[in-house]
Amino acid sequence: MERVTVARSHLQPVSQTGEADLRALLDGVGRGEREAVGRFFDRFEREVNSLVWALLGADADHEDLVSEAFEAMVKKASLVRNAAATGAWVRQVTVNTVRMELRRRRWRRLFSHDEEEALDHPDLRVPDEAERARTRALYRALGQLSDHDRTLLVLRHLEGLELTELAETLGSSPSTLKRHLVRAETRVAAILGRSES
Amino acid sequence: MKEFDAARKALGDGPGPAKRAMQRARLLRGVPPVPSRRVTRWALAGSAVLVAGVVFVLVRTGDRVQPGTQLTAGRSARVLRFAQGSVVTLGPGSSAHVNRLDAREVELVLASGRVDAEVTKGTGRTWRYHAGPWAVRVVGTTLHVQWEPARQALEVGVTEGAVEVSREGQPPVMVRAGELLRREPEAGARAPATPVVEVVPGAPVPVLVPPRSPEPEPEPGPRSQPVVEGPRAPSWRELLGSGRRREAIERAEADDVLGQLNLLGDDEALLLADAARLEQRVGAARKLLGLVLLRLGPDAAEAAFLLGRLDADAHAPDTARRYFTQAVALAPAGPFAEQSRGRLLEALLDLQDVAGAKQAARDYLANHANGAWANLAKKVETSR
Repeated sequence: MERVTVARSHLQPVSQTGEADLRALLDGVGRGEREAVGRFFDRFEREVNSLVWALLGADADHEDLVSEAFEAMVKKASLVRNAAATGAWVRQVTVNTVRMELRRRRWRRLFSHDEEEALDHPDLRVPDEAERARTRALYRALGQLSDHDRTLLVLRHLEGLELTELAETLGSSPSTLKRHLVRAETRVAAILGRSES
Repeated sequence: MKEFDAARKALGDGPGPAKRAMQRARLLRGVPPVPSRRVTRWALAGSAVLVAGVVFVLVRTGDRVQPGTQLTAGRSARVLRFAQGSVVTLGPGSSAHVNRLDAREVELVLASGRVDAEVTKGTGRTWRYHAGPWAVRVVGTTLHVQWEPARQALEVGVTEGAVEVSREGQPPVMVRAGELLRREPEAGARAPATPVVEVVPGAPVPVLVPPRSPEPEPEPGPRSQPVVEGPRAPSWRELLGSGRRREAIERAEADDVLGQLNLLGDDEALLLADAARLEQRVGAARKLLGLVLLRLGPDAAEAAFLLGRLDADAHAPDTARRYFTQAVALAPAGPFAEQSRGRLLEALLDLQDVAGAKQAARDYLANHANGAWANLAKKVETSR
């Protein structure tokens, strides 16, 4: 199984000065200060956009989900105790927001039978039709997994998170996630293999 | 896994800068703005500044007032000085809360008692007072509003300027300088349906009686105690601000916000519409978006686009087509123009309107040659 490592530069390590700045920022957001909320968005929007984009597959509802994630963070900012871990917290809230949406869609599909397609976002440019088709097939396969397994695969193989970061984000141990990862990779390969044949 | 390699390439870098700027604006739209200057609270401490017949000395305590702030006055009146020079005095024993406070509008709900106001003219800011079922709209004037909930009795007196007093189901009444409006239910009596100006003995000004509704008057309840500070149910705005979306919608429905849409600004209507859409309350979302569209303000194109999407999702391509067409017409180069043109093309294809679809395809390619619907538009344009 080929492992792909992607350099992720959205989040920088936090220095002591940085931690104090983050604390002040979180406090401002918690007080509902518009200027602080704006700066919070500017600081973390790359990470949030990247996570939602990858988890949903450049979906037409991308903006709604980014909005939901930030609203959840603004509401809970005053509860963050360790400012140095704000980055990890942002990731957790964003992933949880998307997972709730995936669950809602699963319920809706039970009644509407509407298929959801990835790569639906108007800003997406995929000139290679074969690439587009393969990516759509991948997201259809991911759609057949549990939210947990889908999230795990996307965070690992598209966002390039290490096992320790995955464990922090999903609230599980690295060894458990390693087993789940193997299971999910096997399952998605089988689904894609079946659909190709 | 090689499938993820292809996906990584296909996904690219995410939404473009325009979409990110919209995300930022949308987030900040939900954050109540801080008043441009502090509202100072002055409390009684000794002798004399004369305001509305009450004598007291004012000591600055510097409280910040924002939407959701509950205001009560104890045995002394409470004076609030707003930015741009407007002054509001809450009479002794009175209680109100701030529903809205921004550069465009101030909205106070008078739970009981009296409020005197001197509103600076020419600021473009609208002031609204709500007292029970009544709404008093003010743009630059000096007036008082008095409300006794136990007797459902309203009094509005205007010293300078003019105000509009309204209630759902009744035509609004203008009250001008020197006039006093009094509205009290009389046991067993029914007033004529048209406004009557009556001279009240001893009153220096004519009394204007607004028309009464045809329904029987409610029985007056027991005399209410002055409202004191204590827990109150959060407003829909507060619930939305704290992310409790479903509760916010239910609260708005319980407060009949959808029946009083004229009280909502465009920003609030879009916020509530967003929440309604995400909570699958499509009817409420349509109503709110329809309001924003009808006003033809800067957000009208967004409202038209979102209405089109609701209809497209509901498999109603004909109405979707109309909304997307409107969205393009309102903002042909705006942030929703590409999606509107693309989805218009889809709606026309659903309607099997070949000629319309070809025209839409040409229009799309002329404006968004490399857009998400470009491939579809090219196929439609070249098909027979």
